[in-house]
Amino acid sequence: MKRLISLIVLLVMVAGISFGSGQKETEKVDQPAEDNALSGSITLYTSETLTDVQEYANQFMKLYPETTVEIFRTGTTELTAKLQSELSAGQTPADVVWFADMALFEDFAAKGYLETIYPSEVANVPDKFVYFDGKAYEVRLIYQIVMYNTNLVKKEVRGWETLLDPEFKGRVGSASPFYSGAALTQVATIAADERLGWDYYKKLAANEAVVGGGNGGVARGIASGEFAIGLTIDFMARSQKEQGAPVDYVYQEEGALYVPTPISVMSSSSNKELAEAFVNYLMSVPGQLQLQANGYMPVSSSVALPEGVPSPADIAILKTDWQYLRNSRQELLDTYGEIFGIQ
Amino acid sequence: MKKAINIDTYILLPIFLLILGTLFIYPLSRLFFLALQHNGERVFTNIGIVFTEASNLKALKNTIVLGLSTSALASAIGFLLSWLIVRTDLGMKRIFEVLLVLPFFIPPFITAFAWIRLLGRGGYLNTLLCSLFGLDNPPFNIYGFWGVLLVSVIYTYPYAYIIISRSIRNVDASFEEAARCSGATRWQALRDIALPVILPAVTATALIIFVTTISMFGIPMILGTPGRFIVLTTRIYGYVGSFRDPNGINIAAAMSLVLVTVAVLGLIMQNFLIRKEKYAVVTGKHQAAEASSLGILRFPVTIIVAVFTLLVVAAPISAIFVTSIMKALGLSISPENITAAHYVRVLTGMPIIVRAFRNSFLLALSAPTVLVLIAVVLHFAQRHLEMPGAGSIGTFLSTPYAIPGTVIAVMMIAAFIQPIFGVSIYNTIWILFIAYILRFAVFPIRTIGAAWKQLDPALEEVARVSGAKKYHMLRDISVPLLKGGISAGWLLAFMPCLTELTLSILLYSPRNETIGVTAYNLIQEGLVTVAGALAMIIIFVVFILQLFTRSGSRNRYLRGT
Repeated sequence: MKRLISLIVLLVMVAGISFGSGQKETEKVDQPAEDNALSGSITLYTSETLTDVQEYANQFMKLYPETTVEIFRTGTTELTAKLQSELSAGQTPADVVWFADMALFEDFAAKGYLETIYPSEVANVPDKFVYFDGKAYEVRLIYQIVMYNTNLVKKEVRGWETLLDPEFKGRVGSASPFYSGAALTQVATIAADERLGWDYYKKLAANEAVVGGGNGGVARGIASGEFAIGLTIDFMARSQKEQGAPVDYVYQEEGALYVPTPISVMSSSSNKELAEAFVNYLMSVPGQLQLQANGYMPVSSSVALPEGVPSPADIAILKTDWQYLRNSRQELLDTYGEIFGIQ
Repeated sequence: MKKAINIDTYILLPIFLLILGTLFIYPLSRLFFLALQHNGERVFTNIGIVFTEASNLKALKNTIVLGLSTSALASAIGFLLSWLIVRTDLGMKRIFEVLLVLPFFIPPFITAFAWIRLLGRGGYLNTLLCSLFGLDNPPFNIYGFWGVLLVSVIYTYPYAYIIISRSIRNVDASFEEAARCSGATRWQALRDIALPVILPAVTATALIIFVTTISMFGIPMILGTPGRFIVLTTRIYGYVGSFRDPNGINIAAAMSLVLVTVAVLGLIMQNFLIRKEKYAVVTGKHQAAEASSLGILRFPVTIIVAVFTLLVVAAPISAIFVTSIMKALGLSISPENITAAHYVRVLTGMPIIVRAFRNSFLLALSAPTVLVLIAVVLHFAQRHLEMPGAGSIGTFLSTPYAIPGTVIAVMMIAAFIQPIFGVSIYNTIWILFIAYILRFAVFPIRTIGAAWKQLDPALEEVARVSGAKKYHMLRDISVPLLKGGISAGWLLAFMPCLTELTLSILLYSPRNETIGVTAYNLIQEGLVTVAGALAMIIIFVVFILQLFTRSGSRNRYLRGT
């Protein structure tokens, strides 16, 4: 018992010392903005890959040494929960928000939570990626595609229909619209599509598709051989492929699913200038180049695409009616849940 | 006995109430407010929805069935193992003692992933069985109720083992010896003397495991959802985070209240079961029981336990290890696909991981310590200060464990986002500290309560009669005799604190990351192999810690000195 106590005391001391030194890092002296240099600190809430976002933030902080960008990263579901809890309790520390739930952004825009901004670099952004009259923007493009394991799938993979092949019965992976914004977008899009419709989901359920949590899980499952084929996000497939996993992916011939991942400045931000500057950085050529280096499709046409990635102009996409999604969220989930036997 | 109000009550009670008030009642009150609001009005609509929608009722049924079956199985396994190791001459005891508690040290979501790697469609064990028996389809499906049950039992049986084995060790053998001298067989002595007195520990165990299981999120989410097995926690998670319904959070809060009610019923039942009996078997004249011989069964039983350990402990850890050394997922296990790069990256290239270790250890060392102090003071007040309501306070403090981490986090956000008395704990490590204390209070409170019940009151009275002040008695008699319960309670709180995830992913802030959060983010980024390396390091560190503490405390009991 004495040993246990002395061990604890020792560990607490060690932890305390290292914790103490960590605290010092956080004390930043805010420079007075006398010479128009940007200063202060902002907090970014995002579901983007943490290592990638950390790179953008680090580069930004190098450009503006008097600034700090704090990143809070968690899954989209948790992020939604946290933001909504904070907002309903009256305040949020978030200055910039960036994640894949278009319907939620729309709701926030309508409620006045988002600030209208017109950063100087917006010229780089095509009009269709300016959302809600400047309350949100797209800075890079992602799509939901069909990914497959090259060891398990030998035939040609063409698109949505391939997932219905009985050869893949029980080995098709998909994210759940109950947890994934992108999956919910998919349901709204497919349900309204003339060729596919709810029929498609009924056939998919008959083929015993495994509906789990998020797109990341599907990508991992395909890489590890858990699933043979499935629906997930293109950059996740690219990432697994780069790591050396036996996978590949295609943009569906019927049309891929475009997944918006808006970024906005919160109207409650205490440092809107800095927040806008950060969004601006991501739109600028250096920022777009960083995004491209991480394998994302930049939104600006003046920046080259990552290797092996087709041009957005060449990718056929299915049409998504955002109003329909926003108004029918409940029914979409209920019908989908019934078809797949999950609620 | 006349209940005297004395000066301790005037000092202790207000202090307790103050702590309770800020830490517990205030956030919990938020839960009630959230649950009772629907579209801005105070109504019972949410509770109605919880009990009328078919899918919600199904989730409730699934939850209770899962809780009961996990509790029964895990307690039985834990009890059997405890008895075999403490009271018989089982072979390879030392190895089993160390290995069998390991599943408890692995964060449950990592265990769930490990079992997918074993028994998923492309899993190692399934593939092995297919090739061994020439099967077309893998025989086991890890998704669904059975997979969740399997992994839940694997995660929780060590709780049972830890609590029950300590309780058995505490039993003074002279009672059984007396029975045997009077002609009882060894089995009769065991059944009629020893078993009844470890009942508080067994019921405490069954209860803790039940509540753990019904409030668990990671395992049902990862293994249950893809198999269409939905429980209350996964349903709540869907309500809270998917914005499916503007009243989502309110319905989730109402559902959490249902969970809490179920847990409280269990707590009350446990209190009732052990209330009237006399369990004092720690008499101070301690004599360890001699190990009973298993006879010809010794060898086969040892083999069975060894196979069990291999399957339940070695297999998942091996799966994680293999994942951590592969260059990428899906590659075959061959020399050219093996690398140590992930370990190098975790140990040197990621400052966030060093921070996470530091933060998690700080929290995991301090929260249980504070909880043990609270538990000792509470039970002391109940038994020796006749503080009215101390028992109820203990029960009340145990309930947040039943509330899913997601909901506690939402409560904490709602309660603490605005500064209180000018102080804001939001986005600091303190909000995590308080959340952990809220969540894991149940362990020290239950185990120390059970252990104190085992103490013969004579031991403490002797001190008082000889003139010792109550506090001296506490320090010199009670606490040393409670060592088993204290260390069990501390350890049981320490491990979940160290690897906690569901609270942390909502409450952490930049530079206050925890180990669980870091592993989760790594997995979400697709860096499963790196997460595997991190998991192996966690297992290794905790394993070493466990060896260190074990060597100090074990042998005294076995040798009976």
